[in-house]
Amino acid sequence: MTDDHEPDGTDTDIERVEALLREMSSEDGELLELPDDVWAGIEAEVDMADDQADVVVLDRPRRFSSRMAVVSAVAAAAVIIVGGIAVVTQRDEGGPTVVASAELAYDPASFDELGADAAANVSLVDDDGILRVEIDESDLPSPSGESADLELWLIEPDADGNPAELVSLGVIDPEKPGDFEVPADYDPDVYFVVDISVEPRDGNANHSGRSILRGPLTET
Amino acid sequence: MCTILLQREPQTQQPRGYARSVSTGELRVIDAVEAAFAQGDEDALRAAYDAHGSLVYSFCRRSLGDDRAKDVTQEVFVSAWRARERFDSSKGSLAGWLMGIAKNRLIDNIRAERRHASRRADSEPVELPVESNVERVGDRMLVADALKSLPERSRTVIELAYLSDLTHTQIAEETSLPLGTVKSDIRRGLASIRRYLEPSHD
Repeated sequence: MTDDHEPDGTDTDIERVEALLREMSSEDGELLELPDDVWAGIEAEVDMADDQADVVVLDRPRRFSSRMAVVSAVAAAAVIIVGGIAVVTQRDEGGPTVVASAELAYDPASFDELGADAAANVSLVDDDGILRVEIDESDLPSPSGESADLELWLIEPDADGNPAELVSLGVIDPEKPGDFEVPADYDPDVYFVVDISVEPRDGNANHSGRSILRGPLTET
Repeated sequence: MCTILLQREPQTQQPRGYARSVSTGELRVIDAVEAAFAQGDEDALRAAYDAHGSLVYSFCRRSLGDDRAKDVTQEVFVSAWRARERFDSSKGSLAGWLMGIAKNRLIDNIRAERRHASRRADSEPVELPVESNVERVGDRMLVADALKSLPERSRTVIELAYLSDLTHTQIAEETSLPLGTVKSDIRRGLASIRRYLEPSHD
């Protein structure tokens, strides 16, 4: 086999295709019609993400769900710690470096009561330029009884401490919280409030407004 | 951390060998979607969804119920959009890349379900799909999808060779094509399908 970066692939690749063709069944070619509501969820989430590319206007009207306003007040308390995390990529040769951490707390006044006994500590880790939020210690409720998931978010608060922008980092498995990559376009120095919410499996990708824990990242 | 973006420009790039002849009109359209997608053109996300949403959703439905399948389909497109700079059309198709993301999500789901199931020791064991099956189903669905986008003659010849198990000579007789044409159609068709698949794991 010659290897001169032939774009059409190696013999192994072609054999793989041949094997797949031989085991294909008619079911493999049947495509289902997409339910109508799937696109709306994608669009909503992507629109939010695109906002951060705009010039930052702090009092810009919020475009996401008004439900968000319900939980926003609590951020005010937390957000006073606007230290600025200064995620200067310290690229010493070593492995992952913890650059910031947060203790997430429950706010009985405005949070979903599912979080009443919950707790979590998270770290922001710089792994050779890739930033991840790691859930270090946690005692998280399992919302599966109501067909919902826990979701991890990073929030950019506005001047009043209300969420201005937010980005989902993904769904948390309460039994094995693990770590979540911060999308490349989001600077945790700006999106510095970590939030965990209960998200019903309703096809709506917006934040449900039902936070259970929240806390600001502070530099370590 | 940002992967280099390779644009495919079918008009100017010199495809090598028999790759040239698979640039049918249909495949060019897909290439344009891929290039626009990687550049962050928002309409391209919708175009990618129109072109491949049904494939991703159908794949999810093979191992999930409707609600979860819809959620995972959304997650796949949102993740793909966020990570669009990492998409490299020289390594495989957009469909293959999306299906690769879907595979990972589905496997995560299966593992989470299994952990839940294993804790319910008193209940009946639940039949859950195996990770390797999920991968295999995804690959087969991609191959089936790629087959549909091949030019008619190439598709017929490949179906006769691999689904009906005819020899090249039998196919030549069946289709009244010269044996050399049958062989080159198969070779081109396989190469075209291979490009559609996500890169194999090194």
